[in-house]
Amino acid sequence: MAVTIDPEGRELEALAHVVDFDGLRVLDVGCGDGRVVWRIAPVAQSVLGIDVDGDLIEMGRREMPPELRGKVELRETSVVELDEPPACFDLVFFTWSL
Amino acid sequence: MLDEDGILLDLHPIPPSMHAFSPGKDLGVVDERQFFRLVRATERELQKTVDGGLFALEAETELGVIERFDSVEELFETVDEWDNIHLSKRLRARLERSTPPIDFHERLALRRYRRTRARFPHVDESHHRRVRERVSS
Repeated sequence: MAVTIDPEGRELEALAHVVDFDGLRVLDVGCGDGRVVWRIAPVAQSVLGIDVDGDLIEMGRREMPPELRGKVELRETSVVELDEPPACFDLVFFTWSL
Repeated sequence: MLDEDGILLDLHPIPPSMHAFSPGKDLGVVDERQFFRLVRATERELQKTVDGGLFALEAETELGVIERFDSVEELFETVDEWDNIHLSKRLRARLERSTPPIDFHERLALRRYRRTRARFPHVDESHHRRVRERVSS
């Protein structure tokens, strides 16, 4: 891979100290190619990852681990255009996108 | 969309500006002044939601992360798409001559907010529907 974000795992380490994703319905805003989604999805109840960059979303869909396909969705959209029911997420994560 | 008592997590870059290194060499600092003006403005807006009682800040931490580029080509392909971030001519020249991997070191803030039960009385689902209609038109 030509670009590696956080090869030392500091992001995940910090997330583990600040929040427990276990059983949560998560919205990841600015998910990119899903690199953070893959790490939180195994314990989360569900993850919807959104990003306005369609190329990254397509890449993420291709590279999604098969075991996560039942609980993870990646969608090309913005948080303003997202039309989901009220109170459908327990956690909204702005990854470098707020 | 966020449930009552739901969590908002915000992860974003903070000063100091990104610093570029290649093996054994300090290549210099990226100009993020414009970007950090935007960050400060966003933080002020988020603070308004805390001051207004919509969210409560529960935890925060800072961390250093690396963005590693294994090729100079991929570096420029990525960096040239960044908004509000600039490479000086000197830094660009150093990057072009450098030997990968090239590491950009940056500092991030991670904050956890809790949605409170307070409400802005005039903000409801019809407001959000009007915003979506304006955006899509």
